Amino acid sequence: MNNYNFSHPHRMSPAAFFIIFMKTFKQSIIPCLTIAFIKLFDSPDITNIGVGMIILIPIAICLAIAFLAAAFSYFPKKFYIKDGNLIFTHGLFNRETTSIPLYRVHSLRTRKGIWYRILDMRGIIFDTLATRQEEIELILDEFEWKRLLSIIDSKESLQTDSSDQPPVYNPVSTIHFPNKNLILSALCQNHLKGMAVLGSFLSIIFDHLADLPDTDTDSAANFLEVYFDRLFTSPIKVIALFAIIYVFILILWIGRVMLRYSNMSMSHDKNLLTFSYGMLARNSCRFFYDKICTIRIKRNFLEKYFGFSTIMLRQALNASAQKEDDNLKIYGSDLSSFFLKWWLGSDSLDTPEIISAESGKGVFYRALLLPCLITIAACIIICHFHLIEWIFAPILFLLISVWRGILLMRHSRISLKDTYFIIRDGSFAKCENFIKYSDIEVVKIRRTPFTRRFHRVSLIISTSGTTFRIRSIKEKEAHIIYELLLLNN
Amino acid sequence: MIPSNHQIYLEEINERIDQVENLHYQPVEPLYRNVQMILTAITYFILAGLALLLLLLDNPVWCLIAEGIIIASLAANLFILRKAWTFKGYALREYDLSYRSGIIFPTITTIPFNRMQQVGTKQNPISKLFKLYSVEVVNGAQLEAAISIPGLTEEKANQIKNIIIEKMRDE
Repeated sequence: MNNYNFSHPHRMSPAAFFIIFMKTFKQSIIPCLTIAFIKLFDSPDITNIGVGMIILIPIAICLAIAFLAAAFSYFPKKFYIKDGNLIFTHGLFNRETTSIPLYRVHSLRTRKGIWYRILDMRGIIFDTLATRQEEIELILDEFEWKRLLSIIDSKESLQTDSSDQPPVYNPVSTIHFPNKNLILSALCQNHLKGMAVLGSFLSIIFDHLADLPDTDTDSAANFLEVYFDRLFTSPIKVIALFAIIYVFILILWIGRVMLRYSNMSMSHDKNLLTFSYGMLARNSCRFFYDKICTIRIKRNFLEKYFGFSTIMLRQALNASAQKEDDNLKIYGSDLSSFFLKWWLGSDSLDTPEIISAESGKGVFYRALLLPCLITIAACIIICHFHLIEWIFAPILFLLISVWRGILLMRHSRISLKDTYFIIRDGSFAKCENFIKYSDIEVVKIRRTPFTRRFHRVSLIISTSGTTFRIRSIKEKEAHIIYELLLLNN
Repeated sequence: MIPSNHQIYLEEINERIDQVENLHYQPVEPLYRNVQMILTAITYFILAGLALLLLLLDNPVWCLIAEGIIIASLAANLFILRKAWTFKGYALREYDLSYRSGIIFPTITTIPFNRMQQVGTKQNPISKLFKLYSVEVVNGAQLEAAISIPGLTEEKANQIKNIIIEKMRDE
């Protein structure tokens, strides 16, 4: 296999079969075992043999399913490179052939999960900009990966260096991102999202409670009733409970960030950024200079205090690529000016502003609409159940929402420069999105029923990876910006 | 070589460019109004049919309320549709295509020719009855990846398609 040079149709190595098998097994075993455990709870008088059967039968079924699925996925798949195209044949019943011109490979993402690392393999996912169809994953060993990479690089350089210009010296440097900054930055993020994750996890548990026998649920309900009656005697106790949950979420969040992004390093040259990151599973992704569509820089007040920012590199999205995979986040970095100078040009940051437009009060009122409805509903419920001491909660929520609305209105702005434009947004954090005119795909202007009175409109700008909506900007300014965006495209 | 960096006078934009708000938008065919009304009526009839399932509940009042809401919504929708088709229109400029639509939230969408990836004509069973076509333009945008200009005669649809293809080739 190691002598394979991609010139004729070939299957992936047998280790790839094992990885596909393990992935399928992992997907099927969790729901099967969940069902098995529910079945165990439903059968209190079951013997030891019965318990064994209930657990072993689903495992056997899952093994069989995983084996068949891996066989159906592995054996029909063949790949090779011909005339500068990566040709990939797949499908058991409907034989399909997919060709990707190597110079049009938008980005290469690699997966190196635990099984990949044990077997010294690497999953390579090809992204192209052309369609929203599912992209291809090849599971290759290190030798094949390096060989494929060199072929792709040679095709790309052939494509870009078609002119007779002499080759340019392109030095490669590497930057390591310290884990200390990563932890510090993780602590500065918004953890309410983590609360939502915990909430959804608890809702699943409560959902499954319905499947348990009545005797068990009754005793659990009695316990919770007694416990919560004692706990919810005062708002201070509830706040303390939330504080404990918050700390728990914080630990989970830092663990997640460390698992995903620790030991991050970036090698860069003039045309390419290559990131490598992850504690257990090592991931890598490559961003080509001309395929990045947005650089987003976020700074909340804590990040500002510590002197760093969260940088997000965005490129075109497609069907199989998850948001997380395509939009790389660099936590705890002070390299925002490095990325901007690399992408926009070293002089472009100082260029004067051509025109700018700020959002008006419409943003504030819009941001306040939903919180007002929630507050009214909460107040009605509180009054109905005579829980008047809890009235502070919706009022506090409304006050925070007002503050958030004001910040949203203040931050929302678009400014145009010579070769790029900046869209500022965010509420408690200031966010700046840098976009080149050449990446604009669609521009839209939307009037509202209030436009006739307030002369404010929304401007919507879509690129291949992101969509931005700047609300409530002056109609006259919006039309000039609209034309300038199209003119510079 | 020192790169050029000419000053841009914003006043020139008004003088030199036909702004999208001032363009003369070509209207879609009046027959398209019928297509929209039939499609809307079909959708509401399906909804009304589904609402009949509420009869399975003990109290038939819920079914009556649902049917009432659906009929009222249908009437309002048909009334708006009679007006809405006049807001639909398209305009071609040298470097882009604009499409205007919407009555409550009037929207203009513009796609530059150099970002278009595919163009085609389409018919659905109802528009086929009225011999109307729509031109569908696909680009690489994350949102609004395709815009469709409906209610065109075959001749107009092909004409627009050919212009777009030619422009795409030039770009």
